[in-house]
Amino acid sequence: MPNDVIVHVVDDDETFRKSLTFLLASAGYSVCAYESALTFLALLPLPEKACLVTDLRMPQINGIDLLLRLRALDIEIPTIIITCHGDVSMAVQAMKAGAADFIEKPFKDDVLIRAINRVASQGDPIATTAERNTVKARLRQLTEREQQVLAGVVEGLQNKAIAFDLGISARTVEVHRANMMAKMGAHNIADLVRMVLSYNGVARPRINP
Amino acid sequence: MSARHHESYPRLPTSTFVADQDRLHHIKRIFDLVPNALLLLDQAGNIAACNAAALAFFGYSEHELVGRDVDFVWQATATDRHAKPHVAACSELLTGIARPKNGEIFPAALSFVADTAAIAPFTSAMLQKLPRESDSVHQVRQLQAELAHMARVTELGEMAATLAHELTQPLAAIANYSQGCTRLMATTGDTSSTQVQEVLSEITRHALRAGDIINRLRDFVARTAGDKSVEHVHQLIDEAMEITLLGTGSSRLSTEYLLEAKRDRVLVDRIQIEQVVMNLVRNAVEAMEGAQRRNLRISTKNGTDDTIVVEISDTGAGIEWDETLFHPFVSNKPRGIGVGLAMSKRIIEAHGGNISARPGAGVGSIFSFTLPLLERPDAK
Ligand SMILES: Nc1ncnc2c1ncn2[C@@H]1O[C@H](COP(=O)(O)OP(=O)(O)OP(=O)(O)O)[C@@H](O)[C@H]1O
Ligand SMILES: [Mg+2]
Repeated sequence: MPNDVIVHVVDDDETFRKSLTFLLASAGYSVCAYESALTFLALLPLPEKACLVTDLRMPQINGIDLLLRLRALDIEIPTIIITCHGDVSMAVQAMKAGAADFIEKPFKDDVLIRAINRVASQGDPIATTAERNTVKARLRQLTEREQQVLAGVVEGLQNKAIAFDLGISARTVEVHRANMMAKMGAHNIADLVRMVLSYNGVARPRINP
Repeated sequence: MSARHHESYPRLPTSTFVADQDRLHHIKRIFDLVPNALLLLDQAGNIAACNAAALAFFGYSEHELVGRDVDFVWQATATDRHAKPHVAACSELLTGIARPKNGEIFPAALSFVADTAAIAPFTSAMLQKLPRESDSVHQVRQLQAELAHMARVTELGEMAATLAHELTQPLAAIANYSQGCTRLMATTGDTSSTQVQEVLSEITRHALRAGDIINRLRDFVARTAGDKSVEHVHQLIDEAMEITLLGTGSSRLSTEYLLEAKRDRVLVDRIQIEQVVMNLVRNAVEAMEGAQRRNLRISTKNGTDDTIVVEISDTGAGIEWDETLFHPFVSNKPRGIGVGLAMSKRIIEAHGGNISARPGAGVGSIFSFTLPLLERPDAK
């Protein structure tokens, strides 16, 4: 197995942590699991090439705090955030705090494994040139309105708020949004945010291709 | 028009042709026919005249009332006590107590019109029965019961949100384990058990789908708009049916599809609409348990107002229609919660459609819902 990277899993829920460890191990990774951010932080610095998969909502230190602490300690470790559905704005916050990617629970294994391989091999969240070009081409297909709606969605805004900002009806936003998602080939918001953030490769999503 | 014909109409007297006597009589008649209790008060606040309704209101005869102070039959409550009807300004509504002859006092409001400009100034007072305190208590009780019911519904929503959160963990764990197993079997090159591999991928599929449903449920109870996408209603029906008829023992069930709508493109939350179809179909199947003939029919057609109409008919026991059918917790099934229809109604209305029920032709019932069709995407 070509997986020389060690995956560190941080999740306070034992059931989920164990199952994720099993999944990653069966995919050929070496896995270390921790029940809290503190136990993980106590082990730093890590000797080998590593990747971090952490839950977003945890008691005491949550995923975002963990990212901020790592940054303060000047430790670079590519991080994937596992979120629950509906946590989009928190997930975007995590991406801005330096997370390379985020994935909604429950997920297909290849989605996670592809994400791990990508971030671990490159050591940074920026997508491959080919991927960037695809995203760029898709962004070009959007109408101006669709781009505006996309910007709102990626900020974690609800349709109503986007409608208010743009001075159009919520129903019109829904239509633009559905078309935009189809054109971008995004299955859900997580997908979309990932694409846009990885395309820009910076904290704040900018939409102009 | 002939003169005879003209005369055959009973005519109201018009002022030009009627003697004063007639007019007075006429006004008195109107006064008597008014359904509200009316009192005419003189300047001193004494009752000068009263109508038939007033006599019934207080249970006195006319001669017992005329000449009496208004206090005799009605008194303002403490706050209004300063306000004697004949001295206060026009048209105020005063609350007070009526004292009928039988002694059973009851709350009554009095409003009045004073004509001070007339040669003989008078005040006319109109009385109105107020709900008794016990009536109000009854109303409050009813409201409280409704509130408690609402709280139950809200609680159920919160419960569902918590439940959704709690269920995501084990579901995600199931998906992880089954996917891990699939990978293990693939790496060990174990080809002997393709059946096990198939089962594992089914487990994964169902765990992920359950997760999907729960996520939408969470959107729904949080009342955030779920992800809407452009969908074809006929496709949603197919998918929903596939899931619902699994394990309903549908062998003795004949299912007929009449998907005749020419246009079926809608902008909806796919899982929610599938949920509605599932609820209605499940109800239909349940209603046909033990029935001789078990025919389920699903039909669609386009409405006149750019909608698609979906109808689900059964040959079951039929419904006793009343408006509470779509209220939560209405169920006559031993294991039913009674949320299926209430939830469906909320979903359909949130999508700008309608849901209704009616008896079928001869037997069974028909549940029908509409959804607005998607206008052309670039239309503003
Ligand atoms: N097709 C039908 N034929 C006859 N009665 C029906 C039909 N659909 C609904 N009903 C009546 O309406 C009631 C409410 O239906 P609803 O789906 O809301 O709740 P339920 O089926 O009893 O429970 P659940 O919450 O599990 O769905 C049912 O108990 C049944 O009496
Ligand atoms: Mg039901």
